[in-house]
Amino acid sequence: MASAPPSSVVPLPAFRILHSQGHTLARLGSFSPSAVSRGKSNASVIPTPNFILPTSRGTIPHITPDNARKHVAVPAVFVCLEDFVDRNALKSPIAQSNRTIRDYISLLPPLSNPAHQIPIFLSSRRSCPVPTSQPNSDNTISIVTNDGFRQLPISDYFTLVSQLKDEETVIVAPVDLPLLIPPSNGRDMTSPSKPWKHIGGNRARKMVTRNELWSVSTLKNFATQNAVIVPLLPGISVAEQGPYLDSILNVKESTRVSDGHIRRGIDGLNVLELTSPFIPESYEPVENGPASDPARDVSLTSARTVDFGKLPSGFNDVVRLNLGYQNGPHDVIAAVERGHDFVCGDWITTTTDAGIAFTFEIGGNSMTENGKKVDIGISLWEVELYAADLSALSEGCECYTCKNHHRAYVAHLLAAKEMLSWTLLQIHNIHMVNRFMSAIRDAIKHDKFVEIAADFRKKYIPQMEGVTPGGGPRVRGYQVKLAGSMTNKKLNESPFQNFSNVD
Amino acid sequence: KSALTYEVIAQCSTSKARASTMTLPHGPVETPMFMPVATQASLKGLTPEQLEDLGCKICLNNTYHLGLKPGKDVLDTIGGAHKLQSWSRNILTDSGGFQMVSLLKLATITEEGVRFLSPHDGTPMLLTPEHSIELQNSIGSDIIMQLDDVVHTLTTGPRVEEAMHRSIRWLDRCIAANKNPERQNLFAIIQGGLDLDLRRTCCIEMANRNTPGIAIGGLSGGEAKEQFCEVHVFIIVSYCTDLLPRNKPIYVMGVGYAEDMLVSVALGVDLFDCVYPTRTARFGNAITAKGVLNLRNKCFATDYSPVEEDCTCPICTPKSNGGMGITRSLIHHLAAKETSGAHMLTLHNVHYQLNLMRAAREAIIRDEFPSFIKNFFATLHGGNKEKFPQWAVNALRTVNIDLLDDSR
Ligand SMILES: [Zn+2]
Ligand SMILES: [Zn+2]
Repeated sequence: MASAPPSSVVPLPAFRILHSQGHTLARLGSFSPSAVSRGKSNASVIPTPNFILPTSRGTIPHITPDNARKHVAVPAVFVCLEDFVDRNALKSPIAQSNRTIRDYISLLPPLSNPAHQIPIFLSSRRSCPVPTSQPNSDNTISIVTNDGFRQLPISDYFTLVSQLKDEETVIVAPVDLPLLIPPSNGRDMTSPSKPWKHIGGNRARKMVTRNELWSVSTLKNFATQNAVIVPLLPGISVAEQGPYLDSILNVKESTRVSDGHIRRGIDGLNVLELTSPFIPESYEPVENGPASDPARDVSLTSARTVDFGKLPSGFNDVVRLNLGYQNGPHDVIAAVERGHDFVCGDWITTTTDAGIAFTFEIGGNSMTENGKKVDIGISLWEVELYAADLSALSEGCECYTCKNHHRAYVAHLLAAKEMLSWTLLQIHNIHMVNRFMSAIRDAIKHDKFVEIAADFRKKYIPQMEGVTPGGGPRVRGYQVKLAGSMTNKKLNESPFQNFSNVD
Repeated sequence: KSALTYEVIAQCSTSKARASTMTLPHGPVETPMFMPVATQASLKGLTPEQLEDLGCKICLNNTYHLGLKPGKDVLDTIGGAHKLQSWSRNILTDSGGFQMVSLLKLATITEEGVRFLSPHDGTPMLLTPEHSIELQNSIGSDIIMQLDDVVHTLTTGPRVEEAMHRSIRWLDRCIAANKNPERQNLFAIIQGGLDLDLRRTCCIEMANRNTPGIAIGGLSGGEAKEQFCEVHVFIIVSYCTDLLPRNKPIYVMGVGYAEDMLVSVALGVDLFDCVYPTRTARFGNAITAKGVLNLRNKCFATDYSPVEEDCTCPICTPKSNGGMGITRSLIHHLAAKETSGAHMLTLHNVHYQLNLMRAAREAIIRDEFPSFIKNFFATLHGGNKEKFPQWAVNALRTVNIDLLDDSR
């Protein structure tokens, strides 16, 4: 963790917009996490729109690091500290390891490109965190660890992050959210499909000051060397969070500071709701409408003039993260339309856990055989359908699973509750989503995104049976009890849950 | 005509240990060899590619399990277990009988075969030698095992003799039933409990049937070794290897602890199988030359060394050498919470077993097997000879290796 030499040059921005699609807010960009090597040949650059795959306890679920390096090209991973700390964060094994988080979890560069370090989005909490029983305070973040709820001192959090990060680590600033408000009364982060209700009065003011405090310190601590992502506060109007937005912009625009380093400010916004200030509240993606729907164009035009006006223009060119749970490719398309650059890939693992292999593609033939919509995947639990099916999980797929195995094997492994089923599915599903994101980027580049999005909606049924409707956090076995005590609803409602917990 | 060739490459000049090459329809197998158990056509989370990269040339599938899922019809349609799991190397299958007797409490044995209640719907079923071979023919394994009449190792009295004779009769039925002798090698299984006379009769009778290979049965399950006078088990093994033809592979079923395998190698055994290394990985146990480590133990939480120092497996090899560079601390962090932690330990444990047999083979070829096995026991017990198990000392003395004597 050598500190960078004082520099008189403001580092290049982490995010560059390469192309915007005319009719939506979709944009093609490139993101380069390291403030130190940005612009140099050894810097990691991720094309956007893209996805970030949440890890569980630091691993890509079901995948060992050798398979990850060989067969899984994840664009970026999401790692949370609450998966690693216990009672005393600074005494936890990872803190004592004297290693970076990358080294500790053995996140290896892809074999195809050994010089590329996969970016790590490092956060205090999971992407879809389990609600905590205690509120945050100015000096502590409430987290869920392996042995229960804990208050992580903000100072410990900063110490840990500076110890664990490396150049290609993206720092996701902690977020103060009213997690205790039940979904009916606002929104907890476990049901991200509904927008937040307006948060008012004292709670809103507290959120604004606390996030200001946290985001500004995160920027001051890390922005010299790392890309920093700060939250846009949900449930609060842009006007109400004005002081917060001003502060983080001021950090961005401040020049030389006392230690001689030039800082630049935020590199990205963590957008915590779908109805973000980028777009008007009236905006709804047109389900089956023609791409050139004039009404729609009008609403989007007004989105730009009105709602972007609400956010200071300094925020237009930063990368936008949508860490909410996506309910499949339809949600991803909607997020891209709304101008989000990174989406959370938790839905890939949820689909894998449900025994489903993706078969969807975008930008190909939009017609189906009988004109009826088709599913985005196949459920390999239906062993009577696939028991002797020697075809690839998805026709023409080039992933390790499809090149070497077939539906019959994965269906057999699922029926036999063999863990390899999920490994093979996860390799395939990640590959399919990579292909999907790549096709989306290609379409934006060639101004075809609106068309292929409309074709996609015409062709595919949005929801796959067997995948948790409405999303929600992926609760791993050891968390179920904890999560269950907080909410009455089952967090994983997949009918296959009892099988996926078998080992 | 058999689909197996067996060539002895080197013979230990002190003990009965031998290094051979057994060539099967899906390639050569260098013995002594440990065969990992991929019960339901998958080895506990590892891809066939990972298993192949570990140097595994032959693995086990269980006939009982594949008979239930995916079932004979599917196997016939697909064209066998190699195609099902995309495994281009060799497969050995058991007869299914042992699993029935051990998994199903209500199994009973008659001259016809093993009677049991279907685990699906409780209807009475029967596994005959013919059924077993038919299933194994559908699986298409390179080595198939006869259905034998299994009695518990510690059984005594006329039941043992009955089982031995019945196993011989069942072997004849299996040989007659095997549709693919030109590509599937049927192995006989020697029974006879701990009775040397019964074992002798069985060895002679079964050797007369001239199967491509022979297994020594009725010795598996570590319990027999731990609860009773272990030396019996190895006297039986040694007694059988003396009587059996020298030009055929000898397989001891269900044996997989490192000490047991090495002592058996000294007694002339070529092949082993055991679920232990893969099963124990799921409980956070790492097999190492210095003994088994339970990495769930708190003391490993802050242990940043590799699972085993200088181990050349994919997880212990440092990142700088192309490995994963996994620490004990990370395995502790993942143990029992993320399946990939178990997969990583499985990689290590299977590597350990395969590597141990590779090293033994090399020692035999260099004719240094006695010092190799002495080193092994010394390392395992921290150089303390008082900790050497008596059964191992005794068994090895019968083949001129004295573990307690450094001079020979
Ligand atoms: Zn595929
Ligand atoms: Zn190892």
